[in-house]
Amino acid sequence: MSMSIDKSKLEAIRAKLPELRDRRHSENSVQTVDVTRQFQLGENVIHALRGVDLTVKRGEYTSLMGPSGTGKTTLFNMIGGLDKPTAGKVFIDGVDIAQLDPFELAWLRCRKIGYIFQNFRLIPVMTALENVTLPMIFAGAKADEARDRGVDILTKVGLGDRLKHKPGRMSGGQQQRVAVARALANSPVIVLADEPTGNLDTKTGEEIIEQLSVLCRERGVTVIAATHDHKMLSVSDRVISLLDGRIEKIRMREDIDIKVGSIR
Amino acid sequence: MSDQNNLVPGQTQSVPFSTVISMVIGNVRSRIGRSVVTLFGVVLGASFLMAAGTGDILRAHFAQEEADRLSAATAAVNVLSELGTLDGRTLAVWVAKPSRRTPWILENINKLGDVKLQIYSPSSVLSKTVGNSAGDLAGALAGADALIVCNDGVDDAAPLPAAVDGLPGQVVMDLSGVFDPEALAAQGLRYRHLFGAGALGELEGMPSVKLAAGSGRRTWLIVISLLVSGIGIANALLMSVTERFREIGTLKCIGAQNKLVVQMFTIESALQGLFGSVLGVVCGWLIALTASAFNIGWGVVWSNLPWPPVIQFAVICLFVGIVVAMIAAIYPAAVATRMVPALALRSEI
Repeated sequence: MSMSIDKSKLEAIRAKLPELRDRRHSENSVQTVDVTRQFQLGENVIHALRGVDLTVKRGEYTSLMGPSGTGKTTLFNMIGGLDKPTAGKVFIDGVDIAQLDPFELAWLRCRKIGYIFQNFRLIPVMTALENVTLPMIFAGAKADEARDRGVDILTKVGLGDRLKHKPGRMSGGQQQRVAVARALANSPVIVLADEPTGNLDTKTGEEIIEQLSVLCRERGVTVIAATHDHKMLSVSDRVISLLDGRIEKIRMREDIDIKVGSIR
Repeated sequence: MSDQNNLVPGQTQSVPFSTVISMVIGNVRSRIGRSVVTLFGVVLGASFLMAAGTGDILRAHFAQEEADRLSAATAAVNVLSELGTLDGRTLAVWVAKPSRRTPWILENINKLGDVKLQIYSPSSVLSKTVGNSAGDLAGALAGADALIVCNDGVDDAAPLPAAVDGLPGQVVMDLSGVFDPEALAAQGLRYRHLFGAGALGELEGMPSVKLAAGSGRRTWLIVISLLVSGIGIANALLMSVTERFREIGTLKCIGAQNKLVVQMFTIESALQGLFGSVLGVVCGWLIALTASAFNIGWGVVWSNLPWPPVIQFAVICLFVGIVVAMIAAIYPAAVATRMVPALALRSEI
């Protein structure tokens, strides 16, 4: 075999580049196999999830939709390793998370997954910067290094002048941007967002959606967002509708009815 | 993605202590009202322990002092009865090692008649207050009618110096009981052992007998009060876990290890234990002091406080307070550790 690169071969590789980029998408980032979750509520058994099979590819932007109490958050918890399924399996990057011990689970949450919640869930006694650097410190970063990176990320989300502010002194939109910055602290491969725009006004919500969408496109981060917000659907690669703990339908972006998307 | 995602689990991720401390202080500050109430539980427990313990120390101390003063008065009266009268007498006093009782003995002798004391002692305090100082034993013995040996606390029998041979009247009054009477008799001295260790021992034994009564019941009271403090802390921390389930869940979501959660609760509890115990020790000491001052009088109490055992006991109180608080944190910390992080995502409750 010749060591010199054949010009025609190079051309062939160039021609294949789009497909190679797509291979990134072919890798499964999140996979659930027949996931069931039941809650015991007194005498009654609540079936939150009744067998969900879901595959999310790397770099894909997926929206979870459905009425309240339909299992969105429960599924979200399963994918994020925050709760364990009653039956079925959850794979993150091909790893069955049921096999992980608490230490490894914490590591997974810390390094691989960024969480964004409807109610922001910032630590109230810490400043914006401290909230963002906390996951970095959990990941073993030095204080200086964490601070520099924290300032960098907060500046990127437009909060460079709010570093020392505590959550109580910030608006909802600002708090959610801190939460986005915190989710990005350790450069996760998956960002899970549970109703990220649920408590925000339209304009601020759009900004957050824009940030998530840019994150997904530019950095190849897998985004899974549970939402009621139809604006979020327009940036999604796929929209998964849940009903009564089951997947009702899966629509690709091109199938989404734009008229529905315009409803606020 | 960046390199750090390729690191394998198992790498240490311990959070710097200073970060944990600042988180704990933030938590305490944000719930300052309940922290103060919890603190007062510890203050009560610790002050009870401190008041009881130092009360014992003070009682024993002042009972001993009273016994010592009584024995000092007895010794002085014995000197008087041995010599008949003290008026116009000159007494040599040899104090090789002064004890607390020594100045009281000499003061009492001074009060019993118009007597001149010539003191040979390493302690200059004695001669300033009760008599003239002499440079050596011979100087003290010059013109003296009798020698009083006040070697309280000297354990070994010392030979009397040769200067004693020239003592007119040849009376040696031993107030310490360390001389061999036969050896003194051989020297041709009249020897009176006026006050011995045996008599003192009896007096010393009295207060401790009094203290022993009722101490068993009080020990139980102290144990129960510490238990109550501990349960108070545990209860407050459990409430804190319930209140902060979201915050704890969030911490877990962003990758906090269980170790951190345990650390947070243990440190918060230990801080409460520390501050509560410090306050409790101060309060308890003031209570014990006031109580004994009512019995004995402020002047006596202030003039002569037994600091070393009190400080020792205060350190024990601090230690007990912190340990009780940390033990109380075990269960709440376990509850927080077992909590499922998914709770943090619930918007209701």
